[in-house]
Amino acid sequence: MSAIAILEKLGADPDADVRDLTNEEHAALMQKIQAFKEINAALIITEPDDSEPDEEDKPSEPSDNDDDKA
Amino acid sequence: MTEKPKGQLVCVGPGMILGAHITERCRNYIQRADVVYVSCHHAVEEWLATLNPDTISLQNLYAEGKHRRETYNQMHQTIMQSVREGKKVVGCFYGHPGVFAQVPHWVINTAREEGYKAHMEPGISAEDCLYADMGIDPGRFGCQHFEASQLLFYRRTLDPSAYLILWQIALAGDRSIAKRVSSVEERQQLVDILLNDYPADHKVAVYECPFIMVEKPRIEWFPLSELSTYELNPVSTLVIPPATKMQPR
Ligand SMILES: C[S@@+](CC[C@H](N)C(=O)[O-])C[C@H]1O[C@@H](n2cnc3c(N)ncnc32)[C@H](O)[C@@H]1O
Repeated sequence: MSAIAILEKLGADPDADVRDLTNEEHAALMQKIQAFKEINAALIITEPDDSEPDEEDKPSEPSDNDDDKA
Repeated sequence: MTEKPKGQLVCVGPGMILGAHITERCRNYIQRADVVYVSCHHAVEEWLATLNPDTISLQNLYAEGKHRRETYNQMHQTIMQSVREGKKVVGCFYGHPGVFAQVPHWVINTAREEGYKAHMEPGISAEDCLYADMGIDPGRFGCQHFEASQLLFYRRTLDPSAYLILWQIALAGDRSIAKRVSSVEERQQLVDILLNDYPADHKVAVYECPFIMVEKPRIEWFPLSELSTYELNPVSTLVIPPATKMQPR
């Protein structure tokens, strides 16, 4: 199992446990986690003013469309 | 009647923890899409790419010193271009795609204005994890949520008898919108504003939910007066418990 597949299993399966991994799987997982720590992902940020990037500074209006939660 | 154009868009959220929070519906949308644009933690992005090989990260649109609004414009354009090409497009934004994230709302509005089918699916947000990990029920005393810089830039009414949750606390007061973490001085201005409603020794907590199951949540309590120098990350959320009792009418 790849390190990502192990992480998926650990997330999805409440009975999954790192202690049940083989030595190779454990080593691959630790290596992957270390690699992730070194990447500084720029997670999307919301701006303090309510406008959309191209819009005037006005609060958004509820739309007629029920699906529209913006 | 004119037919709807072919392209379609759905914005989904895989939740916070890789593999733990994704809904069946969200997974199906991702797997059946012609293209999936993702803005998530790197681990989550790598996992999403295993669900659909046509997964493209939006991370490369960010750059140090680049105006964040330019990045959002490019994200919007990139997603819309695929919709206009008639593709089934998924925008996947970490946590809940509509919580403290403008691009998903914006791009859905544009797609609809242009006549395309577009909607949002909810996901598990940092807020949901916070309630679970910290044992907080927002219904008990009430709970206000603000983007931290809004308290500095605008007059907001705080209710110190309710919980106060401040998002993007690490960026509080940053007007440059090109930085990732604000300065001690900028944060001190926020502390000064909070001191109007809370005592300096009031205990507040920094909360960080992990992105992978092998890590634990970060929950650290410290006095409000230390906020300007306390170690914060872009993913930190500040939790301020009530400081006063609810007043009977
Ligand atoms: C642009 S918002 C995105 C929120 C995300 N859409 C969600 O559903 O939680 C970024 C802010 O969300 C909060 N946040 C993001 N990741 C977090 C985490 N792992 N733990 C706690 N708070 C987090 C922080 O306040 C951060 O500054």
